[in-house]
Amino acid sequence: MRPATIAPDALRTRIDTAEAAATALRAMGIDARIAAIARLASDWLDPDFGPRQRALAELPGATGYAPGAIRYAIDHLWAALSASELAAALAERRMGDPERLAFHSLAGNVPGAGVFGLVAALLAGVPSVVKTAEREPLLPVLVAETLAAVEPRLAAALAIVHWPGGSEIHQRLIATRASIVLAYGREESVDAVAESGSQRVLRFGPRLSAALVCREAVNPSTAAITARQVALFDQQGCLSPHYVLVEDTAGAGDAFVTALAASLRDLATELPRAALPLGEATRAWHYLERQRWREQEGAAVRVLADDDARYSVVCDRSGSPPASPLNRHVVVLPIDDVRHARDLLAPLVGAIEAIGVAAPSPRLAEASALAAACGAHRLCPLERMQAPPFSWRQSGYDRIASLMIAPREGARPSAGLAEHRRPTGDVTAELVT
Amino acid sequence: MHARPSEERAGILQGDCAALTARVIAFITAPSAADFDALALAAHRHQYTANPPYRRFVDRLGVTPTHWTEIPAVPASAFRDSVLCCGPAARVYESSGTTEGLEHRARHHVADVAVYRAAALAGFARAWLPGNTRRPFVVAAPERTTHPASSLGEMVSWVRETHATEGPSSFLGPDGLDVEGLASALDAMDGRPIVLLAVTSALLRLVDHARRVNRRWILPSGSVVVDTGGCKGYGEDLSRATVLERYHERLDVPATSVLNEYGMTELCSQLYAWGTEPHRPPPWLRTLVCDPATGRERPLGEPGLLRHVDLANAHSAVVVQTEDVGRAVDGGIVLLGRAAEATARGCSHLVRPTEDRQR
Repeated sequence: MRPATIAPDALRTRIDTAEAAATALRAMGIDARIAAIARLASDWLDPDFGPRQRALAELPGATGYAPGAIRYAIDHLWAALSASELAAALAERRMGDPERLAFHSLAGNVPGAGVFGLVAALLAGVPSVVKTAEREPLLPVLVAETLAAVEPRLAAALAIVHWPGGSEIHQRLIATRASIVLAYGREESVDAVAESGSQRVLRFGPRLSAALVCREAVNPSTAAITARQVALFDQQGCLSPHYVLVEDTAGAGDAFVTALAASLRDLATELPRAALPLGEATRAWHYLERQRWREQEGAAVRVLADDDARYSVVCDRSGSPPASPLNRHVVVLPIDDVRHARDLLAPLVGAIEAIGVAAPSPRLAEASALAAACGAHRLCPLERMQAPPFSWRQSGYDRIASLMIAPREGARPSAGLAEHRRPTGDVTAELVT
Repeated sequence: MHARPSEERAGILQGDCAALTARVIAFITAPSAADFDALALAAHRHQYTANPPYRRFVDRLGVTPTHWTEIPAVPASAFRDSVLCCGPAARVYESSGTTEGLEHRARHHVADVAVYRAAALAGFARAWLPGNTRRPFVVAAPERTTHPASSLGEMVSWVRETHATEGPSSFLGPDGLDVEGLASALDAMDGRPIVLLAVTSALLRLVDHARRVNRRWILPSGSVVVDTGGCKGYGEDLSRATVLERYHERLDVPATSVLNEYGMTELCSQLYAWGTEPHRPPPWLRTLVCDPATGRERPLGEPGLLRHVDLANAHSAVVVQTEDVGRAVDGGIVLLGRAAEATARGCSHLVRPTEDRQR
């Protein structure tokens, strides 16, 4: 069902109401705000919680994702918003002056992807207008409704609305009122939002992730874990692995590729891929045919896929790896060592969001160096790629500091890993927990 | 002295090639629907024998077609990666480039240009102008002299040589469009019906120019605008209806007098559409609308990818799978654009394979 479009006058009223709630929001104090969010998270993790059950029932139809993927998204979203996680994310951070009003323009690619931003705004004391995505209008509304039951002062500072992308009258209105914009989604969507006003824009545009499998972890179990990270959300999110760098010794890489394809085949049943629009199905077909043709003509490529292109694994040793068309098409890049991985990922520096790692502790420093070289914002265990912590510096932004009027050091996208080790969003911390 | 085995085999292939050329040209000259299947299968067998990448492709799929609908469709992208030609190429036509670099552009190696010429001219004649009709031409499209690697340029030159009484050189040169020259040529019309043959983007720029200088032409009654190429290169993606409205606004030409050509570097045949009617293939070209995931034909009216079975591609790939989207309707195909240009859903990073399809 398409979400209802808010009338401009109603939008104006909602903005007024949210702004008016800022005083009470800020008066609450940070500990009270953390406690309220944590209570909300606890509610959502309760299997009997009605709104949770409604989300689990309705989101598969709205998004196309399998029920198992939706459950995964909801469980990990709210687990990341426990009191301890929030307190850790805010530790040692001096709060500055919050922005006047945030406008969140959400994307519908991964359920709940914009919720961290809303929570960050509430913790920072910034009232928010949230424009839902056409594809997933439900979860933000449920979050606001359930928050109202837990703590009305927080809920009053949130306005969840919808209008069709490109509506100039709505865009102009919000541009005159918001002091900061959090823009998610495709490059064109982010550009359109950014160009509509002169506010500061936090750009959560297109990015991709990679997995690093060190030789000690090259086995069928790691392949199964990798497959699940590929299959969850059909590579629509920036934390989905597109490339899997596998340290290859004595042919173990080939066995890994076979196991990865087998796991993706099994997941096509357990977590069926969303039905694809014609354009995306064509991209997948084009990609797969191209790789099959390269293999046929003798390129150093091995292609494993099913007949209906529901998934594929392309093992590429050519040195010129293809770009995934998304939707469960993953490229395995056999490497001699981690240094080799840097060379292969060099063309993607600046586009990589996260590196998921399967490696023993003594080798994590190599993975950390790779992430730094790639400009990745997150380094995490392979099995946690799709379960980010609240402290994750998405697109390089510190969630809280970036919502303050005078951003402190680290509030802007960081160029490398060192920058975001300073606050609590320490990427190495994810590896040791 | 006997020929050596390789020369002997080459001679046999050349003989096969010539025989097939003769059969295809005979079909183009006097089409017989009953012969389409046999000729398509003959082209497939010839390509399997004489075209190694095609043979490897068919072997990979493990198919032995017994009907033209079973012949495997070569993805258009294969023309970027392989030489798909039975024997030496007489001409190599190239698309104008890709975002991945000029070295990745599509190349159609054409072994026998006579087939392409026959298909191009007969197709144009069937769509509109009988072979013995000549008109004054005004051209703003590639031509052989200015764009020697363009398959469209070759076709435009053949059409002009066959049908034009007179007319200046094309106003679309290697350096771009001479819009003022094109406007002057229209100023010089003498009341005889003309053929205005141009790429769509050139005509849209002419319309923009005419708006700026407040100019409008009235094409003489009986004139026809032939356009091709869509809005690529214009910078704005307009619907066909809008394009036709703009032509009407500045050229006073009704939609029913505008003939649109659809073709691609990888094909020797073309489809044509008058006004907003569907595109119609000639009898030697059959176009199927297929599901990209399964490869199966879509029901009438349902959108899918165009798959062309082109007998004039007898020496390259007789069935070509494109990424162009359309739907089959009674009597033709409604073109809906390119699938690769469709919007992606996610915010995950996507590098789009956006080939430039200018011929």
